Order: sequence, then C-alpha cells, then structure tokens
Amino acid sequence: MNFLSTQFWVLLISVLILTRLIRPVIHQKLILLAASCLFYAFWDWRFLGLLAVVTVVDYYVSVGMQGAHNEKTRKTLLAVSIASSLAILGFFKYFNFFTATFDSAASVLGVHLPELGILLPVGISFYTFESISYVMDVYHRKTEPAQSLLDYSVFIAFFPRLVAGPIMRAANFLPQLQHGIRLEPTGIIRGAQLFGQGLLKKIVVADTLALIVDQVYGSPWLYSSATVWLGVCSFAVQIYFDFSGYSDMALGIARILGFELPVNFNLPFTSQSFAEFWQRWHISLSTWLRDYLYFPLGGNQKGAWRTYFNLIVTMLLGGLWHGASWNFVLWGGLHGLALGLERAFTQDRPSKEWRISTSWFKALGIFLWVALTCVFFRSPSMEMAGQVFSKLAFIDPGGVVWFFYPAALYLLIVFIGGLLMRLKKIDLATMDYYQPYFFPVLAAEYLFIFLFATRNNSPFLYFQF
Amino acid sequence: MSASPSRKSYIHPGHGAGYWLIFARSAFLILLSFELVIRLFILKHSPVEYKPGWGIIHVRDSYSVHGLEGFAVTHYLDNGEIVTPYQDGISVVVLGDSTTKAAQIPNDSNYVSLTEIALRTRGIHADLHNLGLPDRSIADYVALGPYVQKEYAPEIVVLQVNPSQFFFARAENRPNHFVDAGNGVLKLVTDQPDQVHNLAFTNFISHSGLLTLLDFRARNLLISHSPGQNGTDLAGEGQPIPEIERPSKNKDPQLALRQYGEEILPQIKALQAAYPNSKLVFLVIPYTPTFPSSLDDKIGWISPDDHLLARTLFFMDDVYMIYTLDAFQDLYVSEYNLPRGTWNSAFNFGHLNSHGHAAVASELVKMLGNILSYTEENDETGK
Repeated sequence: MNFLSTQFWVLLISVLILTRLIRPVIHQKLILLAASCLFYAFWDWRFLGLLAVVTVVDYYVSVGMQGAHNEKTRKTLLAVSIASSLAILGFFKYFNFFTATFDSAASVLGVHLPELGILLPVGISFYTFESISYVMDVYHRKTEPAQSLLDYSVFIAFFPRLVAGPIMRAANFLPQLQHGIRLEPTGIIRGAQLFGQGLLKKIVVADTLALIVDQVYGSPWLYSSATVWLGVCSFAVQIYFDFSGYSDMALGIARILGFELPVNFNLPFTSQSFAEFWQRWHISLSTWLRDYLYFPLGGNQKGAWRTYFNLIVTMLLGGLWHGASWNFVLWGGLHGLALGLERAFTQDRPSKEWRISTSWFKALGIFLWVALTCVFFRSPSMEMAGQVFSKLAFIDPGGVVWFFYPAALYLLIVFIGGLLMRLKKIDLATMDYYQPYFFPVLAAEYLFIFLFATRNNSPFLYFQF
Repeated sequence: MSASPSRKSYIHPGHGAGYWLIFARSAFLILLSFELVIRLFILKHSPVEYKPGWGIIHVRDSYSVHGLEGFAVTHYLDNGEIVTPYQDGISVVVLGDSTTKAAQIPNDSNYVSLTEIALRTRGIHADLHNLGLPDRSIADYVALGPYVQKEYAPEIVVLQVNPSQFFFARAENRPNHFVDAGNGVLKLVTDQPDQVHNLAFTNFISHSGLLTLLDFRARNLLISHSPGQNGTDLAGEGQPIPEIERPSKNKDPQLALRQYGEEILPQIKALQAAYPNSKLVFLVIPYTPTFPSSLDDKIGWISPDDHLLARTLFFMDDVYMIYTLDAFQDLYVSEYNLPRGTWNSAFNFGHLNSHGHAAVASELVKMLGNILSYTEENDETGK
C-alpha cells in the first residue's frame, strides 16, 4: 500500500478514529505500532520478522550499552549491532552484486559464485541506517536509549516514513513519542497542506515528466540529441519532484498525527556549490553520511588529501546505498570527485558582487552536473548510459524530434512556476490559514490534483532503495 | 498575527462578514478560473441527442474541446458528422472509432480531411463524411447501413476497423450485436440503447467544463478500480473494454488465420449487404510502434492482431483493403517521426498524431483516387 492507495487511507482514518477513542499514550503507541506493521505487511509480510530482528537486537544492545561499566563492553556491543545491521543490509541488498562482481575473478580459479534469488525488503536501506544512527548516538551519549522496546519499535517502524524516508534520528523522534498521537487542528491543517504539496509534486509534475523520461531512457537511440538532452534534464527535475513530493507527503501524514519529521529537501537547484547542493538534497541521508561516515573517517581534520579521500569514499558509499549496481557507485563517485575538486580549487571567498552576478550560472552549472550524473542513476545498465552519453555528445544526433518542443515548453512552465513561487515567497505548505482565502486555495489545490493528475502514474522512484 | 487559535476553532473568532465575503470571492474566482481554463483548453463535451437509427450523436453545430491528449476543437454537423473542409462532391462515408474521430488533433489535420483536400488537388471532387465515433462494433456499422445509405448515398464506404470491433459485434450486452442464424449467416439483433434516459444529465454537465472533467475523472477512477476492465476511451465516451480472447494468441498461425476468417467473413458479408450500393474499403491501422527494451532490439511495427486482420482481409474477394504498416515505417525512416503520441501522451499508448494521420491519408488518397478515377473513366466510356 502506498499513500495513494485506498487501503492506506482506510488505515490512516482508522488510526485517527482509534486515537480519538483511546487516550492513554501507551495504547496509542501500540496503535501506531500495529498500524506500521500492517502497513509494512501490505508490502511484504515475510519481512516483518526481519524488521523485528533489527529492532530487538538494537534495542537490547542500547540497553546493554547503557548498563555497561566499561568502554570495551560498550564498544563490543556497538560493533555487534552495526555488524548485524550491515550484515542484513549486505545480504539482502548486495549479495548478488558482489558475487556477480567477483565471479569473473573467481571463475579463473574454477570457482563459480552462486547467485541467489533474494528479494529486497522494502525500506531496508532506511531502517538499517536509522538503527545504526541510534546505536552510535547512544554509544556517544548523544541520546538516551529508548525508554521501552515499544518506543524503539515505533521509532523503527513508524509508517509514514518507513519505506522511503526521511531517515529519522532517535533524538528527534523519541521525545515526540512521549506525548503519543496528538490530533490538533493546526497539525491537521499543516499536514494537509504538506500532503497536498507533495501530491502536486508527485502526480502532476513528476509523473508527467516521466512520460518524456521513460521514452528517452527506454530507447535513447531513437531520439535526436536535443530530445535526449531534454530527457536527461527532465529526469533531474522528475527525481526532485518525485522524491521531495514523497517526503512532503510523509511529513504531512506525520504532522497530522502530531509528529514533526525532518525536512528532506530545501530548494536544491538554487545551490551555488556542490557542497551546498548536498546540504539541500536528501538532507536526512547527506547528514547521516556526514555524521556517521565522513566525520568518523576524519572529516576535514586530517589534511587536504585525506579530506578529499574522505569525501570521495563517503559519496561512493552513498551511491552504493542507492542501489547494488556500479551505475550508482559511479554516480556517487562523481559527486565525491566534484566535492573534492570544489574544495581544492575554491578556497578564496569571492566578492559579494561576483557571487551575485554569477549566481544564476552557478545554479545552472550545478543543475547540469546533477542531470548528467543522474544518467548513471536512471540508466538500467552501463551500456544504456553509454548510449545516452553518445547522444548527448551529438554522436549520431539524428532521431525523433517532434517530442522536443512541447516537452521543452512543459519544463519551462515548471521552471517559471517554481521561480515565481520562490520570488513571490508563495509556499503552499506554510500558507497562513487565518487568511480568508486559505481554505478555497487548499480546496483548489486538491481539486487541481484530482483533475490534472496524469494517467501515467509511475511508482515512487525511491521505493526501489 | 494574534494569538494561537484555541483548540476549539481554527477560525479566528473575530472574523465576520468581511472574512466570509473574501472567502466567497476567492472561491468564486477560483471556480471561474478552473471553468475557463478547462472549457477553453482541456475538456468540453458537446451536447448530444438520440436519433433513431443513429444512436446517441453530437448535436448539429455544436463543438467539443479535447485537450487531455493533444489539443483540438471539433465541430459537428448532422448525424454527429465531424466537419471536413468541403461539403459537396462525390459522397464518401468514413466510419471508424476514436482514431477516425481524432479528437486530439485539429479537424483539418485528421486523415479524413487530409484525404479530402488531397483528392481535390488531384481533380477528384469527393466529399468525405467523417462519422468516426468511439465504441462502435461491426454490428453497429451494419445497423447504421440503411440510414447512411439514405442520408449520404455514398459511392464508397471506408471502414476503419480493428480486431476488437469484430469481436464486440458478438457481445450480447451491446444494443446491436450478431447472433448465428445458421449456415454461416449472421442475424443482426437491435435493442433500444439504455443510455437515452442519461442524456439529460450528460447534457447538463456538458455545459460546464469543470463538471465534464470531474465526471470524466470520476468515471476513470471507477473503471480503473473495477475488476476485469483494462481501460477506457480517452475521450471518455466509450465503454470500458473487456478482456477478450485473441486468436493471435493461438500458437498455430494457420489456425489463427482460419479462426479470423471464420469470424470475419460472415460479418464482411453482413456489411456488404448493409451497403449494397457502395464499394467497401477496409482501413487497418496497426497499433504500433512498440519500443525495444534493449540495445539489440528494433522498433516493433507489427501488432499481431492487426496484422492477422489485415492478412485475412487481403485474401478476401470483393473488398478493398489498406494496411498502413509500410506508411508508418516510411514515416520513421524518412522523417524520424513516429505516428503515435502527442505532446502530452506517450508514443506507445497514444492515438495517432498529425504525422500518423498524414501517413494514413497518403494511403487512403491512393486507394480512393484509384477507385474514383476508375469509376470516372468507366462512366465516360459508358461502361
């Protein structure tokens, strides 16, 4: 079940009704847990056990760390927890990837590594990262352990963000859980605003752009170079609207229930540098990588070359997190390289006039870089990515052309619409609900979505991670 | 802003008439904006009426707007006929489904209009009557025969057909359908359509673009959640298309061909009987292209069912047949254009675009030109 399915809304409304009837906080937590398990079971009930294993292991590790008297024991428990989380993630997500990669080497020795038909549990990349962040924060005493297994279970399984993030931190969520589900008019209105904004982004903008993108990436050799360029740029916009739309919906639903989740996107295509881009794009993942990978590796504290190395390794692993394929590793590596080069060559702070006058070009440059690296992200294989790049380089530029102009017009409308909203500071999610036009505008937003949602409803892109 | 709202009300207690006035004005302006944009650019149905023999048709001199897929304004004449550039000349009737109606491209760009114009440049004054309407079966065309003959007395009847129309003709829940009368002969059964009593509602909402679109979306939502349905016509005027067994799924191609022949031949005979004074031209437009999924594959131009239908018709006596497969392939090879998909619909599930219609028209012009020229020559020689 996803946010657009009837079953989900039946589930959510049931939770809201039960919450009104059942007031004790502990019972509300049980309701949340039950709803989350049901939500996950609709995806694949077989992996509920896996979720339970991750939850139980990490909870008792955190309890153990809390009660341990020496550092060695605490470290051992930390290692056990991280190892178990990574083992589960590694097996389910990366086993076939590594066996395929090393098979060619192993075959020289006459050994063939097995390929297993392993199903990827939905949301595994997200909840394993949350569990790792939890135990590390408890170890470093940045947060207290969860007060009960129930609390921790709700944290891990919290359904609005279970399958595609944002990646929560226990320090932010667990205190909120102590008040249970809070149904307040303000929260419900703000939640509805956020959800509506997300819906607009996803099923009106992202799914319409998918019409162009799926055609171009399906058979790039059919299309002219200009059309392929358009498809490549459209994918960058599509993935932003798809993923930020999903995040908005998740935040909206959580808000309705009285919980604040971390913002995951903050106008990333206005970034003036690669570093700024990663502070605005998939913020929950980039901050996780920063806090639990980049900083432990030494961050920027061990000299310039070590900093570049840390950046590249962090982004390589960040790419690998997205998918078990060399495409994603290359994507991450390119971003790491860009970060490293930017750090190496832009030490001096330019003048304010220079920064203002070049802001558009920098934003465009960042966007183009993101769009080009996303070719690896979107292409099903390196071979296909190669086809796309050959078209982008105008090698054999001929192909179907008529699609280009209307598609370019649509992209321009999206760009101008976004720019106008930014300049006029129009934000559908934070509109003042005291204003008399608020409810008509909110109703109009939902009506617009119902009327103009494309028939081409594609699945949320980040569900595959 | 003042203090936070109380838990009881999120509307500030100080708001009175002024608040509600702005509320009402905002709501009105929003609804008006929706109505204007939808009516002008998205969707507006024309009013319809029931005419005995013709069924439910668009009212004369009405128009409809279709922007959900492409954009076009369609004007109507009598009997739901779609306006073409000329209204005089040798009468040719074109029957077909939504491909022929082509609500998504300008009327002058659909293949019927293009054919009419091209014939005129060749000195053949033909008046093509575009009677394209979605969701018609072969049985519907047979039932329409006497009325078309009386109204238009066509020299030629062009039937744009697809495999589904032959199978729908057997569906007993349709107002017009065939039953076996023995000895390979079909009997047409005609029932009064039951949509007549819905026309008041249909015509009411057709006055509003917003209501029309709401109704369309709601019906799509219902259909997509109904089991056993696999789609609906994009114009929203057709019935949901039920799953039917296709002979092309038969692994034995000879058997498949024979099955088609056995099903189609009696229906062709029924059509010939319904249009005794007209030459019949069957127009088969394959539902292609299909797209390769790997670097080694090519574009697919052959739709198995359409190909089978075209082959079956090709071997029949006394029928003219056009199969636009080659024209579509030439379109891509020579111009890098694809025949399907518009600016807001993908190639692999869209109707024909203006390039596709031009390709179809080029084939139809050749066929009609030959037939009508042959007819003129015979008239001149007194044969």
